[in-house]
Amino acid sequence: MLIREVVARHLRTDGTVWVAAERNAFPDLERVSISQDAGEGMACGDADLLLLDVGDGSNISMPVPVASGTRVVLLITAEPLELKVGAVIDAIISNGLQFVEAIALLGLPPYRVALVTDCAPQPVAPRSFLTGDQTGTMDTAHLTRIVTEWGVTNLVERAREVREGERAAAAADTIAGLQDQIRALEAELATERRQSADVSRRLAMLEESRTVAVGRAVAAAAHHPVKGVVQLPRDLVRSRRAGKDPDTAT
Amino acid sequence: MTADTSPTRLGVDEAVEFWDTRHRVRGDLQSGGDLTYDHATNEIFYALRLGRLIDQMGDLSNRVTPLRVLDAGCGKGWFARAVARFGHQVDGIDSSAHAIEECRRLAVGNENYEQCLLQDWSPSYLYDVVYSIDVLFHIMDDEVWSQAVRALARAVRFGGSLLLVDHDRDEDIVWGEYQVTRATSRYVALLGGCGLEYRGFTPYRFRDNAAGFHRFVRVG
Repeated sequence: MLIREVVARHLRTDGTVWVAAERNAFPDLERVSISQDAGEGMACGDADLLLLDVGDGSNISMPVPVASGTRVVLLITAEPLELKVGAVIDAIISNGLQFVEAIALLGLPPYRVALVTDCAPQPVAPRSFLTGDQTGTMDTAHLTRIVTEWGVTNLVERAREVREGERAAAAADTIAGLQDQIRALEAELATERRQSADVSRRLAMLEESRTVAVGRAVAAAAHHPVKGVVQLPRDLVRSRRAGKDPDTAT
Repeated sequence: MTADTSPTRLGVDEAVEFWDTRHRVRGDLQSGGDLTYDHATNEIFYALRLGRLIDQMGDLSNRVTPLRVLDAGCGKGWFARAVARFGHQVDGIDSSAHAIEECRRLAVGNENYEQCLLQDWSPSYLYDVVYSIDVLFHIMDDEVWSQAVRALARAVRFGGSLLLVDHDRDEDIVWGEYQVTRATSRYVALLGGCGLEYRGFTPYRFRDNAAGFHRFVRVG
């Protein structure tokens, strides 16, 4: 969700946005005809929605007193997976805020997460992520359901994390084993290549030997008897003259 | 109140066999669409239902935090693939082995398909959205229908949506041996007892088809 979508979703009609960040930090808001005020000439208490830059969320404090009924959006630069969960939860509660919804942001670095909260005297029911449905007022049935879901799903999620960790470790072992096999096969291949090169060298020497030359001359003469009677002695003489070095193949 | 005018209804096993055969012998769209329409008309019918589904599910998506969605009775997976392409993490279940094979063959990446009856599906996680399109009114046995609806409701997390397609009628109507509409009040009563609140009916508005989405939200 884009920040302007978060604002449009939570701002009441004709509301005012108070931005505790650099002036005009969110030019995107102009697209939905929402002006931002960085606090000059206006108290935060007059705003309906406060956009608050809280960095990576490790140290959240309210820059000004926030009036009851104000919706406060904490803009965090940390990625969702890197969220400093303990610090963020503690900050929300210790600042008298109530959680409404958490949103992974798109489109406007450096902010990655928006935590929507209310400065409200009564418990606020969470909202459905996609449709924005509120689930009525927070009552015992809601709390019972939330606590039960939290407890049970937390158990499963932790067990799943452990299992995935074990699978990752097993996969790493498999990869390491395969890498050992690859190294062994590479060594085997190098040995075979050396042996193959040696055989090739010996074969080349054999091809160049006088014995093979004589054999070829005789074979040729046998194929062409008339021509061979003339050609064979010449080939044998040529072969004898060419063989100056010791012929290891003969 | 039930106005049962049909002498025969398909049993559970018969229905499973009926749908597996239909998925085998019919084309991609007709097997889960409307047999009385040709391919092109079914294309429109599917696209229109997808649009209505988006209306109900909402139009937001985020790769970092995808929704977990269940397509209950996914057939050959036309809707599941579309929803997966929207960036959501989709599970599709169906009783037809052939349909599930087709789903797996055509999967776009972030889906999981299992051959399973609706009433037997009980995963180790909850869903943000559970939907069942043109499936529940094909469950002829009331007890099985009730078990299926409860099973789908159990899978919805707090604040999540349950979208069930049927007609919006004051009484039950049996349309033939393999189709029966349950009164809206029966859905509301059954799911109210499961912690889900009724948020209204959105008809398909496709020609003379009177079906549409009943929408429930878990509030407790």
